[in-house]
Amino acid sequence: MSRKSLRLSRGFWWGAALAGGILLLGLLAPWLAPYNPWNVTGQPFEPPSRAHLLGTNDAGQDILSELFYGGRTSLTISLAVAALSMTLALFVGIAAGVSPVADRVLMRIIDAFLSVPALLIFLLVSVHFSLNVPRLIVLLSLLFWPQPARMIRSQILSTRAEKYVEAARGFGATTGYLTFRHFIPALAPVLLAGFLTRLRMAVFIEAGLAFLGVSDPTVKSWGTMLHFASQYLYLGCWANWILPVAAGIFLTVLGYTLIGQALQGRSLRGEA
Amino acid sequence: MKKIVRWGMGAFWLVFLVLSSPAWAKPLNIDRYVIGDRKDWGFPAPYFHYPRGPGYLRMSMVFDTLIWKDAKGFVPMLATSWRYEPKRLTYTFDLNPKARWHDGRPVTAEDVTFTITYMKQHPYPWIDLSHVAGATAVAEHRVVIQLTRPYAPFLEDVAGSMPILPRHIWKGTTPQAIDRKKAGIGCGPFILKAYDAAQGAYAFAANPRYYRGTVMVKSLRFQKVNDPVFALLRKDIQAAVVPPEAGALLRRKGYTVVSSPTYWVLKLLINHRRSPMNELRFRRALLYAIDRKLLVKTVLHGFGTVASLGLLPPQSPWFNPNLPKIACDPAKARELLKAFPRPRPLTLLAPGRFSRAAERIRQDFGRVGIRVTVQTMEETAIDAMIQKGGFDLALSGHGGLGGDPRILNDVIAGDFLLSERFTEDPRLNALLKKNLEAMDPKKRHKIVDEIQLIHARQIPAIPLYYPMMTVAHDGRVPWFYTRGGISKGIPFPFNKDALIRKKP
Amino acid sequence: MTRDSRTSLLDVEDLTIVYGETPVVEGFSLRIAPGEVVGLVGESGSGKTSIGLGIMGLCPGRVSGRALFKDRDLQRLPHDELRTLRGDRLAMVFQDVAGLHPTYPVLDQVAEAVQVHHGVSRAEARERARSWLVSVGLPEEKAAAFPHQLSGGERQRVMIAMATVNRPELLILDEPVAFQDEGAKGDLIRWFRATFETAGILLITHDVSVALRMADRLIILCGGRVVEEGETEAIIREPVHPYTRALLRSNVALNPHRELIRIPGDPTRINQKGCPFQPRCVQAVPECSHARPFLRQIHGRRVACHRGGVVALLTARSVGKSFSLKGGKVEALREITLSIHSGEGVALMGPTGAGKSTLGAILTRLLKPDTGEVVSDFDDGDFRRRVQLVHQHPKEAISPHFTVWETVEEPLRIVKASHPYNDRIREVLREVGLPTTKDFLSRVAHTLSGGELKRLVLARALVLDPLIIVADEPTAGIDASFASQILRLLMTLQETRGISLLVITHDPYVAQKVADRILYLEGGQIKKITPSLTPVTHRHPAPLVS
Repeated sequence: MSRKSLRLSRGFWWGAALAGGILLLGLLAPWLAPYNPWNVTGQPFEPPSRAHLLGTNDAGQDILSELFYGGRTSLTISLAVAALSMTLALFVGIAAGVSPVADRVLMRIIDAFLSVPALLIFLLVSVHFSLNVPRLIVLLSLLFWPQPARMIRSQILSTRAEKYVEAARGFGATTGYLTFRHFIPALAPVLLAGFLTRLRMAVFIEAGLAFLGVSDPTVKSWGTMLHFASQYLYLGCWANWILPVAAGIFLTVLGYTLIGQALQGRSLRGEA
Repeated sequence: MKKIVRWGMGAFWLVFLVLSSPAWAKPLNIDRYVIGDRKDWGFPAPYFHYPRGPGYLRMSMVFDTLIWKDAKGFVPMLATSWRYEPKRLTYTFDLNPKARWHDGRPVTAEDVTFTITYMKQHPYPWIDLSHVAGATAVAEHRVVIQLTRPYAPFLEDVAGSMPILPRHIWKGTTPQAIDRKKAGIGCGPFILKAYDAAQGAYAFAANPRYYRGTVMVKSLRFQKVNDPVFALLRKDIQAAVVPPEAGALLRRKGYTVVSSPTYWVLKLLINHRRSPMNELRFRRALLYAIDRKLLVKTVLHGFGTVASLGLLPPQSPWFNPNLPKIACDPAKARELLKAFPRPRPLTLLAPGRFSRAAERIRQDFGRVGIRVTVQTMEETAIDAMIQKGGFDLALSGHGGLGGDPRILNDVIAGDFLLSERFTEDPRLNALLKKNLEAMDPKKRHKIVDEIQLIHARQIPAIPLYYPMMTVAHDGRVPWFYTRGGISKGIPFPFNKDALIRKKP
Repeated sequence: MTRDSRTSLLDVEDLTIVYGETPVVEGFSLRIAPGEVVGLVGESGSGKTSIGLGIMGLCPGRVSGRALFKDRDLQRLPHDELRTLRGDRLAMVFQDVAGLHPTYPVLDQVAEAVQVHHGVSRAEARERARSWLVSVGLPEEKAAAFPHQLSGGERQRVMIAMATVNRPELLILDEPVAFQDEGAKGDLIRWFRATFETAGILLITHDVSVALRMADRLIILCGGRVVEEGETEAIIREPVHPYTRALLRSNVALNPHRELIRIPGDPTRINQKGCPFQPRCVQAVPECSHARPFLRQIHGRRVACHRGGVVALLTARSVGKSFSLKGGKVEALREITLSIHSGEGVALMGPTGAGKSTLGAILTRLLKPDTGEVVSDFDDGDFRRRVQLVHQHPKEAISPHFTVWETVEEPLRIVKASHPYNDRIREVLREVGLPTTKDFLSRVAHTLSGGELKRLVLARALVLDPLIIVADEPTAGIDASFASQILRLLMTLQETRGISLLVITHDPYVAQKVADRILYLEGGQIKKITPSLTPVTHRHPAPLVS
């Protein structure tokens, strides 16, 4: 296994480079961005120029700076959502996988969660609460956990049937021991795939919600950039305004997808 | 990605339309005319439409009032003539005997007295009848309305705004219980044919027996559209309010584009009952901190003006031009804020559509050391929080500034949803009271000037800007701007009188 | 103990022999009736020859107690009288074939024994000696040969002839057939029984198979003390004392199929205070080390064991188990009752679906039976340590994430064994023949070969010092050479650790190889039980090799 992990496909490295690069741009936004993206640094709708490489937006803010800061938001939200939802999924999945009583209750809850239309929840919540970044993270996490929780549960159930778990039980292993020593290590591929999927989904959904104006438009994110840009489509500013944002979203999602596919392919090969 | 494809297709359509654009004709009779809007505004009947301008506008196509306004002022509608008798505090209206309900029954003085009684019993949010004692039908087509006290805005607020209800339909029923099909029967120039709330679609047909003249549009529709500019370019609609920024493009495409004052103001509501906003010094600091010029430039892109601190816009005949004009001065703001070391962070409630303004205010306040957290939410939720007083700062706007200055009473101290609820200044309270009673225009002017001045000095809210309204249409209908806005100041040009060729 | 002097030929009571300070025989008692063959069996050094010599009055050590031959106390008999008896009424065949005089022909030496006791003429003595030698099986032409001209077997026959030529009433045979080939062994045994039908014989041997073919009764001697005494057949069929069982299992003739198992430990380590077998006994309890067990009546024989003989470590009583399937209930096991004794090898055979693995899971308490119970000889809290299941497919039974070290460490971690683990892990790995290098220990277990994996799961099972290992199909699906290695390993473990083995297998050859008993499971029931030990009835000894 240790030797195998070094042999990763080219897709993985492309994906890692993309995701890592964008992450770096986001992290270094305060240093890379030529302006404070909230300050008015030009006339509204300025075309690209030396002062504003991508021009300015409707509020006279520098689009390039917005792009960096927006990436930061998108990445923060997606990473936080993926981490939070997978953590939640892990706890629920393990509880359900380990205890039949908890399983019955939790599966009901999961079914209930899955049957609720997500967008409706967002709209309802956004009516009464400002969907700022922390709230968005919590809300997305709450929507994202049931599916991986189910996957984790079924992975645990199948691990439970493994002979090596039976063997450990034969030595008198407790549920706690089995969970930490056997169930969780066996979850690695599921967790990884779930994490990457949620990263991807979070980037998309955050952008989508912001685009629709459901989330807080004063937050600089790729979605809010699209939200504002879409109001001025007739001004023909898509090349310097929409295209860079769309490219950002596309490349991020592509990066995550490539990593996910490479890892998934590897685990399939490993099992064969 | 789908969006981009759609935009791309839109762009293609745009090119296609430019190439295939025909020469616009101006026929006298129009078969079909669609006005686009971004929302649904409720069933077009009294009590059922949403209590905002566009909702009233749709209702007004079906229901007529006693009098109406055109570009110059009051014109007859159901009432052919009217007169005020100050001693008796009565208004007498002579009704047009040709007026018929859509079901064919004649409109009589009984309908008017019934409407007043009914609306006093079942308050209709658009009309305030607290100053009306009652009405008497003195003849089949003559009605006398008795006021309880002098009430200056009566003609505009009641006679020019109150839709007359058909007594034979509404009698004995309540707005909750009435049959929806019958509730749509009025005596206006259009007959309601269909309404679809989900689609935001209204279909009106010309009333062939309209008592005031010929209705020029056979089928008038209001239709919800996602993007009015593209809808216009696609010829899905013939008229719509459009973003001012699109004006140039549409003009190039041959549309008639008219900009006009909206009599609408965006205000920064300040919860002056909470600390530290309860101190005038702090409110003044806020005023100095905001760069309202920059706001007009970046949020309105120049299509608007910085608001007068007295609320009424320069276009209003009641505008006070001698108010202090305060420009952005961060240094001054910081100076004033020295009395407030470490002010607590403030929350700014903002509907999504004002998020750019919220962003700017956050930046401006941040510049002088006031931390602001923006919370964007649905407008109705913000309205509710404003009403409960559960806020620090809020962005909220209202119209009605073009009409009777009674609006100042509503928005400064009244119980109106978005009122500033400023009742701390006794002098202002007295002036507001007088404002409603002064029947002498000269006297009233003085009062209104004073009210504006006090508002500018006390700053219970900061008027930010007056946006312009831009309407684009295909030019076939001679839309015009109603003096002071339709009814109590609705700023749209879609006055139904523009569709009627009046009988001489 | 009842005494019937009329039918008793030899009566030994409380015989104790001490060499220097070391008692080699303690409290030995024995009765032999005319026509009775008593086998005295034990490892070399257990004091059996000393007993023979002691009875004969030839023992160099201090002898106490009584040995009555026809009511005459041999210990107190005047020397002359004893000499007259010895070689005539009372004779002993010595183990040592070098006891012949090298310079006389063997015929003369046998003839001398006749002459000494009967006073016949030299010629007649020679004649009797010659015919006796022939009847013992020495070729006639070799009668005149000198001892060094004879083979060891032939010299032994001469020794037998010398001791028996006077047809004694009591014969003490010390390893009488040790130097004979298998065929000659049978002939000699038959000869003894035919010739001395009415005489009493004390057969001293370490070879259980010889005792089995000759003796009516067996006395098992361990460290100079009797540990078990009873009917030959009963003892062979069901040895009660762990030492007896160990003796039987180490005998090649008794175990033609089964793998031989050496008696564990050092035979010279004898507990003088407690049970002599205690240092080597796998089921010893503290009592065994300091209290001497006395002979007690157990299972129709006399046994000296604090534990009452070989204990049942694990007993299933009326175990039943059903599984509910879609169609209804399927009865997997019905009324199963069985025991696994300490140190025992049991094979569980049966066709697929007979419930073998279910029974294995129930015995290891991985599955709860619907009816009945599984009880153990040890604390229930210790059950998980003491009973280990070795899975059929080692790869499935080891987590794919574990290294070799982690695999073996797991049971220790689970039972929270005291640290350090290092030595124990390396020890069991060595025991199963796996390397213990750092490099090997840190390898991911799944990268090992199939053979290494099999050993690894065994090592894992051993690390908790189990008493019982349940091996599920240990040889299924592996090639013969490899299967033999695994079997060898299991047997070695049984031998060195005294582990009880329950081998679940469908292979009858494997079963015969490893098991003391084979259980046939069919349709959820035990159909038959076969001891893999092959006792040969001594009344009709058949040549084992034809």
